Amino acid sequence: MSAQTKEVRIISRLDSTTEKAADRLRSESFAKKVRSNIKMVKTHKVKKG
Amino acid sequence: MVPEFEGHYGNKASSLIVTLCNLWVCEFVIRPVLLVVLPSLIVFMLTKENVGAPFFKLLDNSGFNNWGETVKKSAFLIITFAISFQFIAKATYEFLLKHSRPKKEIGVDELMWISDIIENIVGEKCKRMADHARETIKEDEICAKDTFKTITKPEQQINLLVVGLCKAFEQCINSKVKFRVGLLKIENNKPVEWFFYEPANETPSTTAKELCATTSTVMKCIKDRGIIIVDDIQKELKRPKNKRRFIKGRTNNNKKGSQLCFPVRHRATNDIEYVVSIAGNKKECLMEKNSELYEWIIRQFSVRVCIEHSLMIMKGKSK
Repeated sequence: MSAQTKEVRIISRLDSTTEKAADRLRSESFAKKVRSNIKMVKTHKVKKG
Repeated sequence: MVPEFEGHYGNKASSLIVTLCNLWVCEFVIRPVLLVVLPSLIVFMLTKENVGAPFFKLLDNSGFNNWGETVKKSAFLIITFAISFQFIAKATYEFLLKHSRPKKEIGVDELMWISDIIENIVGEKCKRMADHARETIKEDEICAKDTFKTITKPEQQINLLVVGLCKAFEQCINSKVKFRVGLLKIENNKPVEWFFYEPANETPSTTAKELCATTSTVMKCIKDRGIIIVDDIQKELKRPKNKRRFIKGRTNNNKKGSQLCFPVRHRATNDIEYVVSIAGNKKECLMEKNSELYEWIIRQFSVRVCIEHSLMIMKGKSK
């Protein structure tokens, strides 16, 4: 990262609790959970009406 | 309605043919005639000596030595033709049906990603509320003001929504592209600060002040009060200044990419309170023609940003 870009100010930074929550969103375990949910939804046919 | 990615001309032509094939005239009149009556007629012609004679003669005279005679004598060839005709017609229809769909459409996978991301973000709030409720059960009475201040964390939710939006773009638009999502705070129709930026370990390449230039994507977005998409930032920089919708700022000379800006209007003031800025590291990874789709995805998050912004206003004034 250049010294110039470091000057850009961001007013809201993640606190430790939020950081953990954000890491969960970015994690591979979350991606795995979503993939398994997709699989579950696709294998369950719902009758309409 | 969930929008779709626009397809190419082949998709559109196939789609038109499939639509025509599904019309009742085609389904109940033309299709039976083509699939049943036509092959039956041809088989009838070929099996009747006097009716098929001109056809066999034509085959023999066209240089196909003895083909007319062979077809006439082979019931197998005639039956094979009748059956293959049905297969070929069905296969052609299936081929057109497959190509009538857009190159990419939002399907179950993408919708599930968005739903699970939002569930995860709301889950954080749910956990916080439940923890506080657990403490409250032990008390006889609680202070409404203190409770409101403790249980609401709008900043946390807005930050998570930005992280979630970045993840949604990665999963729904292009998983090979590295997206950077920022939320700019807007005051008096000008960007004043970067509220949050994802990836959190990076910082935006241009300051909010620099983005106040009239040719910036953010300012164009505020002026138009709508989504602005720059397919290729390098191409945009070569356009005449009065038509340009991107500023170089501190971006590297050879940096490739696309840029998108979306205004978040708040109902209380009807003013633009934030601008969502999304950048992708490959040219044309964001395309203007797909703006409807991007808008739809961003709205799933921006409506929640608005709720949290309302909470921030109330929390800021509560004493």
